Amino acid sequence: MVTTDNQVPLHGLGPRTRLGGLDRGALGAADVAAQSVSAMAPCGAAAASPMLVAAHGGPVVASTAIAFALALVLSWLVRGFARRVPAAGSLYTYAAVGVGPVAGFVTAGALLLGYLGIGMVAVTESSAFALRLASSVGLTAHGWLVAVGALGFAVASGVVLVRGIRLSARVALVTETIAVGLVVVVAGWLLWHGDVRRLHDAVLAPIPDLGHLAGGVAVAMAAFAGFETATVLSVETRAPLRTVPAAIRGSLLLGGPVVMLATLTQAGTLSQTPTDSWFEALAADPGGRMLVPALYLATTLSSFACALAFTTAAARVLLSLAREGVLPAALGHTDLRSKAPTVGIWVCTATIFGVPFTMSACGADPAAACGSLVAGAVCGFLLAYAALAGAMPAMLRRLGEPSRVALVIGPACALVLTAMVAEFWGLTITGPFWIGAVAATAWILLWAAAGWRLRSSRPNAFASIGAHAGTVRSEVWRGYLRSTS
Amino acid sequence: MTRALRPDAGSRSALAALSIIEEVAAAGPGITALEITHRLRMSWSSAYRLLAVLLESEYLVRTPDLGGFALGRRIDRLVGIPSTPADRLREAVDAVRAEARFGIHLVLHRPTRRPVLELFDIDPDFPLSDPARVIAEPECSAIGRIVAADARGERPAFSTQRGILVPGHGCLALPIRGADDSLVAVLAASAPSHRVADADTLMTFLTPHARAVALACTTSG
Repeated sequence: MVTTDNQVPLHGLGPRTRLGGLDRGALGAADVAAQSVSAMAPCGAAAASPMLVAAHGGPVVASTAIAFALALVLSWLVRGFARRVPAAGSLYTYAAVGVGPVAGFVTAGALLLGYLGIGMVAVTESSAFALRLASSVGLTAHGWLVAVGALGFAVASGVVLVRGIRLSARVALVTETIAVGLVVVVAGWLLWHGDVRRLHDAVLAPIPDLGHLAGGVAVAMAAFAGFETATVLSVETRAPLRTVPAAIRGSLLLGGPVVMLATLTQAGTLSQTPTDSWFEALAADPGGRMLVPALYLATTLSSFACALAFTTAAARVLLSLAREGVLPAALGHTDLRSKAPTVGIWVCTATIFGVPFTMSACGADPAAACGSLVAGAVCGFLLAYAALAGAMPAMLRRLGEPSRVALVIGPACALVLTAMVAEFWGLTITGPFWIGAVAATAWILLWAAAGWRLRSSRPNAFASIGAHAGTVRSEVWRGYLRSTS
Repeated sequence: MTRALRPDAGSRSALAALSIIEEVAAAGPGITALEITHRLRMSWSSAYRLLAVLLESEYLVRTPDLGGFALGRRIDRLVGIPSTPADRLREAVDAVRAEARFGIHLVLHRPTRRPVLELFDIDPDFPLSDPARVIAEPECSAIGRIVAADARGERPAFSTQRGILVPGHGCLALPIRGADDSLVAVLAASAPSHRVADADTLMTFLTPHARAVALACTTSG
């Protein structure tokens, strides 16, 4: 061990980190970028986001454009962390490294709410569009067939994920590539055949008021949320300090314009009120009708890849929390063959697929369920992003790398996001999707209570929040090891 | 200096990066980014950018507390530190440990010496419960059973023990053989009993790593 007095900074350098057991260095840049792009699910987001923004009373194009700009600023902050700290816990580890375990624990709760919530939305969307695809090609879906199909999706998702990150990353990459290709074709066709005057009106639509704009931006953020999930694969990526930040930037620069393009093509039909989506616009045109099944297929695939991506992300957040002793040790188990966190994956799969399935079985309206789930998830994401932005200057100070730019942008971004989540919560609690806001509040309060209890019962575990894949002895200059051996 | 000989921006960056490496080497592990900028009179932004590049390319690493920097493994090639046989063996064993959340130990077999077993690299995160007993009583440990079987002329693929040294824990050991098929070392995994009971899975995991360790043993002579 490297523990001599003249090399105290290397004290604790061992052969493994607390995040050992994962498939270290298995993924390349394309696989990691696929994780972020799949989580953003530009195709699924393109189909659902404009309708949801309009349903919350926000201006569609302006809200989406501002959300994209905000996501770009956030991605700069996330990349600042990812370049310095490889961690499977994503934003919560960054917050813990920057500010401390309390901030890390709260961020973990918000992040799980966001990841699991959007994962559930993806499952709901995937099922809804699979049914529409079946109808569009003349198939009738019986109730039992739908149930079997949903169960099949869940099992397929779980099996792909527990077979290892290499396979699941490739499945996500192929699925999302097909989906994005299809959506670009459809968007291009719609823009070519669309009404330029209506598009012009939609782009220049007056902004109702700041409250609705903030609500619209918050919902539109859901279309970009997940760009940071590449960070959960830091341990499993080759040269993570270089690859993960590049994947985050690349995925946002690829997925963002696709969402913007799709929003613009639908803005012509959506205008100011939630009327119809591009599916109706295509169906109304004899030439475009043949593209409808393709768009349903693209949205189904994209949503399925999104569910896979968020299951991957949530399972690794659980693994990180379990390794720190915060959650039961079983959630930190990794399979020796596949090196996947199998217990965490099955828990997340059961949650992400089980909750929408239960809601559907109880007779919930899919659109209302989606709206409420998105509302809850958006609250989680915005809180986690705000914590990350606020933690940036503290993290840089701790690492001995103060930055004036980060000192301004980080807190400013945190303030904007906190104000936005407060405004959004206020709007949602009085609107039709109030259940989402109530569920999010209940979850955060429960999580905080659990944290309070953990802090008093197991202070060491609580204080250790912030586990990251730091340097191991095989990565340092041999001279340090020789001088002490 | 004429314009033609004056270093361009790229050359200046390369020289600055080398200066940073030199400063980290001189100061020892733990030097911070701020200390580097002060000592080299560089701007924060230039120093951070170059440090990020050096970290990404593994010339530098962060210390475990994240607060400072140390030289990375790529410096070995830069300064020409040769890899010794012991280095290669330890690195092969560390590669197993990086993927395992249980103890991984390498014990060398020296039939011409007393004792015949040398505890060459014991897992620092999961140390052996009773190293002296492992050496003195072959039948109490999986490692000793491999050696005893080899002495009897047997060639087992692996050997296990459960609950003898520590209740609820066990060990699976597999032989590392040299080019002449003689036993040169034993690679052992000490883990909870349920993990050792699933010997097939453990062997599937260990076998490729055992080949790498055998190769390191062979090349080290």
